[in-house]
Amino acid sequence: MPAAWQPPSVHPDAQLVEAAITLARSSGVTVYDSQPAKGAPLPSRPYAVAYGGLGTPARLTMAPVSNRVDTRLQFTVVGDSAAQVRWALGQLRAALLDQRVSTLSRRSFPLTISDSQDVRPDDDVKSAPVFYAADVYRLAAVHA
Amino acid sequence: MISSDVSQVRALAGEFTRAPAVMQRMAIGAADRRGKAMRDDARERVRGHRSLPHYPESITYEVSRTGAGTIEVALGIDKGAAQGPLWNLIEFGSVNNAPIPHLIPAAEAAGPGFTTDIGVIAERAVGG
Repeated sequence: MPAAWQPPSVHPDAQLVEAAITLARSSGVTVYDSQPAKGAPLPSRPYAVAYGGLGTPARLTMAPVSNRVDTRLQFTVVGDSAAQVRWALGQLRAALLDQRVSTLSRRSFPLTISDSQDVRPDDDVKSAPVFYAADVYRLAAVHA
Repeated sequence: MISSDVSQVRALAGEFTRAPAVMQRMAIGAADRRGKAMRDDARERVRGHRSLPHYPESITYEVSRTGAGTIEVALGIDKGAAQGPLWNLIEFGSVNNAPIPHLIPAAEAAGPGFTTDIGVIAERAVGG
C-alpha cells in the first residue's frame, strides 16, 4: 500500500487554516477536514466537517505585496438529534468564536461568524434520522 | 460701498439642493449594474456542476427603493425556476454534500465596488 502523500512544505496560508481546524478540535468535537472518514465503522455522531480553502489574498493600503488573507471556514455539524447538533455547534463556538489564530508567519483577527444555517434533518440519509447545521467563520489574518 | 459676487455660492447651494434627487437617479443605474455583475458572479461560482445544469439560471437580483434615500440590491433565487429551491443545500451543503458557496461570496465581493460607485456619484451630483 503506498504511503500517504505528504506535502514537502506547507504554504503559510494553509498552515493558518490548519491551525484553525486544530483549534476547533480542542472543542472536544471530532472534526474532519473536508469530508468525514469513509468506510466502516461510520463516524460516530456528533461530528463536524470543516470546509476551507486558502481564502483571498489582499494588500493593505500602501503595501508592496499581498500581506492579508481573508478566508471562510465552514463547520458542518452532524448529529442524531437537533439537540446534539446544537450542543456540538456550541462547543465549536466556545473554542473558536473571538479567538485569534496564530502561526509563525500569520496573525489573525478574532474569528467571527459570518453566516449560520439552522438545524435541519437530512432527508437524503435513509438509514437513520440525521440532523445537521453549519456555522461559517471568517478567518482574516495579516502577515506577522 | 463694498460689493461681492455671490453667484457661485448660489450655484453651489442650488447643486446641494438638487444633489439628493440627482444621486437617487444615478444610484439606481449603478445599483442595477452592480446587481447584474453580482448575479453573474454567483452564477459563475456554481456553473459546471454536472447535477446542477439548470440551477445557475435561477439566480436573480432585484433593485428596489425601500425608503427615502434607500436603495436595496437583493441577490436571490427564483424559487419557481428549475432547481431554484435547492439553493440552501448548494450554498451550505448537507451531511454528505460539500457546500458550494456562491451567493454569499458574490454579495460580499460586490460591496466595496458599490461603495466606490456611490462616492463617484456623490462627486458628480455636486459639481458635475
